[in-house]
Amino acid sequence: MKLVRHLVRFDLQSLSPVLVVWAGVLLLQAVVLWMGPPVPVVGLPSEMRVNLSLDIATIVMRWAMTVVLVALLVQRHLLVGTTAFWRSRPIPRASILASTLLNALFLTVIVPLVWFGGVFLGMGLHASAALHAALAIAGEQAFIAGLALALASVSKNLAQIVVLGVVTVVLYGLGGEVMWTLPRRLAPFAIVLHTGEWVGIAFWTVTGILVTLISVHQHLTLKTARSLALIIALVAVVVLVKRFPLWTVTSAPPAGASSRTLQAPNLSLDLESVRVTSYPGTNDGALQPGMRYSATLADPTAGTIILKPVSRTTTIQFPDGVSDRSTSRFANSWLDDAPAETLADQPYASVSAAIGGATIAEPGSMAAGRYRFTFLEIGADRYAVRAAQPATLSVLLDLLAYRYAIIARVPLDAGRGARSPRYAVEFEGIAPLEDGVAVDIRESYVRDWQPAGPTFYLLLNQRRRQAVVATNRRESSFQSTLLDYSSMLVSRTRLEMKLSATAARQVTLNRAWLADAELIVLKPETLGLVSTSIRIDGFTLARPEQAPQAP
Amino acid sequence: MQYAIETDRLSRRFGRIEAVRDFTLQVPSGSVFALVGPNGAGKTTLIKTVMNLMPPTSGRASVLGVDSRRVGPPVLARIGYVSENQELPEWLSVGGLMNYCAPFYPAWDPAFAAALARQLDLPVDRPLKHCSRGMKMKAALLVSLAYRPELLVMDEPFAGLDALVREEFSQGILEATGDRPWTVFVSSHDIDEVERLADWIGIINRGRLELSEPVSSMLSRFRQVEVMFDTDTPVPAQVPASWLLPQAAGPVIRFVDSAFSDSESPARIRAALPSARDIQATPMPLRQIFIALARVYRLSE
Repeated sequence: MKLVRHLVRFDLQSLSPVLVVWAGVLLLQAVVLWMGPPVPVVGLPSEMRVNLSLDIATIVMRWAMTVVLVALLVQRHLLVGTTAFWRSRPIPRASILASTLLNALFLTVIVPLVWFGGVFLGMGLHASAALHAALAIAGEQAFIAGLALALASVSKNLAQIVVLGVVTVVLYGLGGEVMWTLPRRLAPFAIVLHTGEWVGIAFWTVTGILVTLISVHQHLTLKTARSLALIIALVAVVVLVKRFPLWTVTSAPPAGASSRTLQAPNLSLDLESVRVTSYPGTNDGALQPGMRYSATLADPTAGTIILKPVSRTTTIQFPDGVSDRSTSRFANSWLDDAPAETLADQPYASVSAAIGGATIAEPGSMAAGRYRFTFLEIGADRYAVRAAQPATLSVLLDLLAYRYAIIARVPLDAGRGARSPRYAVEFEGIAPLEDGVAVDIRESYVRDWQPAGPTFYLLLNQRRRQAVVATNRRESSFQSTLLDYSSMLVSRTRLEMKLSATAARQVTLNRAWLADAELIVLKPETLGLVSTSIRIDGFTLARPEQAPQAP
Repeated sequence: MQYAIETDRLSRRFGRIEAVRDFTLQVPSGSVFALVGPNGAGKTTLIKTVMNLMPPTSGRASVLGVDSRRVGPPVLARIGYVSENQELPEWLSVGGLMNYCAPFYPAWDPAFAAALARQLDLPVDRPLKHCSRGMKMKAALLVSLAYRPELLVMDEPFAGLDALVREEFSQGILEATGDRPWTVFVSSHDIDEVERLADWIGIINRGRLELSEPVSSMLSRFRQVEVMFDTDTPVPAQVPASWLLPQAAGPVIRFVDSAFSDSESPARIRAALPSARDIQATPMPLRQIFIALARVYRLSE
């Protein structure tokens, strides 16, 4: 252990010029992250492109420096070869290996973890959120460092690492194409992709074969230490690769959804009526002309919970034993009617209820009220022969249940902010508009904080029981990292709080009104999945030339 | 321990090339053993095999009583190793190299190391990457001597060094040795480089050990012999096997007698060359002996 400490210390000392550059890169990225995109954010303006380019540049620099650091650590101690200095000295091979791995881990993973954890804390995030985001970056760093370790172990210098890296990326891309994209396009493999099982098996098999081949080769050439480093690196790579979207395939849950089933005794969906209409369909081959059957459901939960369709499974069973079952996922579009009222439409009436935790409705979700939606589309040519036969139709609906909750109340004082777990917001300024005001804010949050529905921003004057809803939503944000699973987002947004002509008669957004106001941020809070089923016996398909009939 | 290094029918093969063949050698403890041979003779391969930098293909070797395949940190702590093709941690300064190496050796003597640095005229603060080849070799020697190893192994330490550095290097070794009993095993392709140091010589040629004996014995048995005749005389068809490279030049026949004895050789020569008028036997320096042997080996190939 004493020797390992000695080796670690010497490596750190000897790398000091490179470490200064490394510290500079980390600092630069923190500064860029802290700056965030400029105001206003609409689409992706040129100013933001500059910031985004800077951000990407700092990320690439961080990755490049990680590779350089690992390469220097590994390659300056030639672990193998008869000319290696340490081999003729009483330095145990394990000590060299341990010191190299420890330094690689410390410099490329631990330091960024601690640094970015501190930066995120400084940006106002809760400790848990800061840790979460920093861990994501550390995971990304471990991936890069592991890859660099593997490449550095089988190469002699940085130039060879670069060449090997390019080859690896190309092979990875080709492998991804073969294992993922190609089967996706070929129908016979669709089931494989649906479960992801065979993709996983293929990946593990190829990885296992690679590890075995490398190990055998390394041992045959007496490169035991390098072999060990390589295998450790490969294991790290494999573990981290599992976090890529490749692994989640099609079984990924909808964003923000919880897999738990919601127990809501006061929530039920009842079939109110079934109406059958003709369905013209299309002739593009995907949908054949057929019939549309709709139902109207009532939500008796009095609008306290919002339901958003996640999936539906429709089964039709004919008396002669023929049946058909189909599942649609994430098909918001099959809601025929959006709720009539939205918060934006009736800001003043709904706001007090919203603040109290009541529903804010939005297109594509079901709030209080009645809904009509399509639950079956049948191609006419497929079931024409069974038209007029009384069948049993059952529909299983999975709905994501959520409600809006206040996540931040921000005083309208410059520099003041508020935070909740995984989210921080800071008020930056307010400016008059012709028909309202514009509020500039700065938000920081981890990517998977992204809620199931949109975030709402209100200016609330509690004393007057009045509120104004932002008429624009966040349209763009600023990513700190490129990998999907490890994003820390920072955005600067100009919220436009505009008053309609009607609203302007009730509210005067003057200095006095604003003095008592605060900014409220509402975020959908996922409650869980609600499942309900509808069964219709004696369901009769119409003949193609006839209008279909409801039972 | 009678021998610091011992090999028994040691062989090392690289594909079809057998770099070391059936090499059997004993390096007596306390000797300064010079292994001499032309470039490509197998010196470096032998040393690397002995140091466990590469395994032998067959046969065995032992160092300080330990099988070469088991040479690890405990044994290496008792061995100093200097090689012309050893990678040095060039990101360190000379002083940094000393500090880097010190904890590896329980017997490291900082005062001795500092004295060696002064004696070898080494710039302690200069990074190794900015040092000349000679300085690097001296730095390698310093960190191989500072713990007073029982065995110092040097592979072509003088190659490419100028005369002054070579002198400093040799002087450093000699002074470091002092009165202490230790063993030095040094390889070189040029006998001049090791002549001052060695008290035992081994000659390697094409992977085989051709000769191994004390320098004193070698110097005493090799003579450059000139036999003068009254008329031009050719070299006889049959001459003793110990006569190497016999040549006739008019009335003179010259050869190297590899088994010369003051008491017996003159009579033996007269018996083989009865018409000899005069015989002159001149002692040979090591360099001439080595060159003569090298020619013999080449001719025999």
